[in-house]
Amino acid sequence: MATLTQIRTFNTAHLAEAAPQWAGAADNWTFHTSGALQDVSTLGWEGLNSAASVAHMEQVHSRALTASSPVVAASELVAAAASELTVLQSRVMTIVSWCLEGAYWVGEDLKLTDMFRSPNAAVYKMRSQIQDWLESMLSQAANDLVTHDQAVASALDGHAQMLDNNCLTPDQIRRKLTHDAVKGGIPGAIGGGVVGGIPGLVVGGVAGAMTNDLGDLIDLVDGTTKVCEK
Amino acid sequence: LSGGDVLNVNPADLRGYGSRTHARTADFHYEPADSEGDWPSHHSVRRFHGQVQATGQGLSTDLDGSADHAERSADEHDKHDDSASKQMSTLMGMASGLLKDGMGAATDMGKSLTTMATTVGTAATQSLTTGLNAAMTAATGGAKGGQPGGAPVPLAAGTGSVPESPTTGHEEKGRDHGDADADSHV
Repeated sequence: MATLTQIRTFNTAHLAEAAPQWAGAADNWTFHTSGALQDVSTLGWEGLNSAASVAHMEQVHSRALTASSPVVAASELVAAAASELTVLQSRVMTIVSWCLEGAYWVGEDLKLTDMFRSPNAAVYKMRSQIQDWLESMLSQAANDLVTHDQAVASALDGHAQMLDNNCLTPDQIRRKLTHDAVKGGIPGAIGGGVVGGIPGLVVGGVAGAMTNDLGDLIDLVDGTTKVCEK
Repeated sequence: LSGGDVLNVNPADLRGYGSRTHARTADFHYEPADSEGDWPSHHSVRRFHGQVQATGQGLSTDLDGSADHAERSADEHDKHDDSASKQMSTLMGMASGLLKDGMGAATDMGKSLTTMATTVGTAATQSLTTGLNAAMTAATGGAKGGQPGGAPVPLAAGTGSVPESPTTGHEEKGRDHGDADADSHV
């Protein structure tokens, strides 16, 4: 259970500030990767290198879209949680104010002490009953706050797990890249017309370029994956 | 063609996407004022934001890498283009050379044939003329107009002149037999 000081000092700034930042980041990813994909798609030549660039950018854009999903969801979650937790905290502090107005001292452990100490047995009994009621309400409100904060944290961890899952292992990315490049990269390779006219003339060069492209992309993705794994 | 010519987009422009993509998440560094007072949501927000930053950094790296790749692609394209052009140029040069050689050979052969034909023709004409003269000599018994037993008058080879009559040894018209004046004009 949280202490009175923790509840009093609790604020939702971290949630309220994170929400627009994450939403903006997700928009930023999709917007710029989409723009980059469009730009790469308008490269002025056809061939393996161009196809590899487009294929790679499609993958980057796809990753951005996939990664954006949990980020947007997390943004909406924390935006809602910020107001919900604020309400729950306010409820606790309202009960604390009732206690203080009724001459009940609220301890750090949220236990009440009757400061009136009436010599009248009937009044003492009545205040004792009010104290129990206030303590129960205070405990329940504090528990609601802590429980909801934990629920928010748990849901956020779930989105974090989804974001983790978007970072493919190097082997997975290598297999996918190889598959995509071999599937879509060879036809229309650079100098295709020459190859068609004079068999074997520049085939070696194109094959070499394909190997280099794959190597570059794999190295690139390996580096990116390492970043994701941090 | 250069990379800049074949690209509608300057690869350098792609590089900007990386920094722009990462900029917004990089600007936001969540650090709680008092980490001892952290609540579960604080930890989760901090962790999640770290992932957001890492993902943004990864995408940014990818985009910058893509810009590099596009630039290399442009260079590769130029190299391949140059290479293909050079190879095509070489082949065209070879083909052109072969054609010229072939034309030269044909021309030389034509000249040779012409020379050969001329030579053969001249030889044949001379042989024919010699043969005809021999035949005329045999037929006239070695006598020719006013010059009994004299040597036959040879035809001018290949001149196409009208031959003398094998019987008279004179031209068949425009001449009088034994006309000294006429003979003096020959």
